[in-house]
Amino acid sequence: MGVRLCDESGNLRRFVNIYVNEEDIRFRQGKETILSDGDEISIVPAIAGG
Amino acid sequence: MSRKSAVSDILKQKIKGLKCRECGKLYPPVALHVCEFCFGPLEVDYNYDEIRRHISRERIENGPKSLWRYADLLPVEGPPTVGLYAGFTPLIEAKNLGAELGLKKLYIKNDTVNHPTLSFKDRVVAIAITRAMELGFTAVACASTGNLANSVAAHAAEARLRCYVFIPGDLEAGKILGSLIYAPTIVAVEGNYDDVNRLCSEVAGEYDWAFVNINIRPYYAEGSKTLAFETAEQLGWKAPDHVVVPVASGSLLTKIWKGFNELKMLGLIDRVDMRVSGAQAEGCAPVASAFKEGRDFIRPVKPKTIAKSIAIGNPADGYYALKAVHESKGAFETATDEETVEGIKLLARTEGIFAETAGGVTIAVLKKLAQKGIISKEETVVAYVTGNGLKTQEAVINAVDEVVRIDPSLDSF
Repeated sequence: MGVRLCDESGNLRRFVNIYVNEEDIRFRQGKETILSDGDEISIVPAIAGG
Repeated sequence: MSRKSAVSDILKQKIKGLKCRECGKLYPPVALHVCEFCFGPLEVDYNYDEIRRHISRERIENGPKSLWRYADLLPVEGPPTVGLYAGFTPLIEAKNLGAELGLKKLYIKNDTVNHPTLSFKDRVVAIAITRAMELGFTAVACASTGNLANSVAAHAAEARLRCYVFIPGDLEAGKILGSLIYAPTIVAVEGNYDDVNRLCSEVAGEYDWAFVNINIRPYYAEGSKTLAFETAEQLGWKAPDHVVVPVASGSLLTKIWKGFNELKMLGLIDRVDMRVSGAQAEGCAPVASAFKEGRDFIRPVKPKTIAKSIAIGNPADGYYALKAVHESKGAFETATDEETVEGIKLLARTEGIFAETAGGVTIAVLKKLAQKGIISKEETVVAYVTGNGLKTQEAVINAVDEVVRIDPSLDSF
């Protein structure tokens, strides 16, 4: 799982979006975002526009 | 499963399959959009040797007066089943606007009159739904800022397919009515487009629908190349010196750049000495800010702009759009809401074209690029105006004069 989500240097791959309780983690603390019990996490690939 | 798994011989000749843009992994040409290894976007992998053997300017010129004249470079296996009249919109020499901006050879690619729903989305949807039907789907869907919803709903009606459209809750009335009239199921989501998109990517995993901008995206996005093909043909088989393109997800700009380069690779035009510049609304400019700050990654934003059709805060193809602008030595500029309204009015006053807010952003950015000398006056410039102003009347309703009311008598006049 880790290999698919992160590149060789451990950074999240460019086209992976991670949401905690429906909020993009880039609006929180990114990879440092602290999770609490019961938080819902979604891993969603980037989606084209419309 | 209702999808066809077999791929016909015709398709095999033109299309090899799908390929991950990041890691190069290959997939069959089915309804799939993400690489299962690296999450990279999948793209159609063409058999260019085969295409080169068939394609020629003459073959294209003898084709239908629609985007289907470029069928050799579009990812469908047979003849089109819907959207037969999409594309081949006018390329207008904008002499009046050019004179105001100090540009001698300015053209407007006018997709405000695309058939049938008056935006460039009729291009991508004609391809997407034709492909979806080839793959055996009986229901289509999309996440949309409005124009895509209109086009998917109209084409689904034509194709007699079930249709599910997901939009942000705050869209313009014209965009909502412009979908409702075709009687799809419309779901207005309390949130912005990025919220709608995230929800839809989860819905797409649960239902066997052709989501044009999700699982059909590799085919769908290719339709935007036709804006480059038509421009080149309409200029007498030449690429312009500079193009200005509105940026939302970044797909349109990326594919216009790809389209010109494809023509060059196939020998249909001699060269592509062209700069590509991107236009974003100031209230939603994640790609323009990356460009200005010299970043190679996109930081998402929460959109706040009247240009709702391009209000995408987390643009999936932002990275590629940024790359195309860098590769072509173009630039990015932004327009405020006021400048957007002025842009709409300027285009209407000078050229008689009523564009929607995204067009206002494009014209405002064109004006800035000309003022800053980034576009020089001798260059052949094409600005892409991608949607119709009648759909976003809210934006300009307080910015125009009132009518003169009189009694029906000559005295009163």
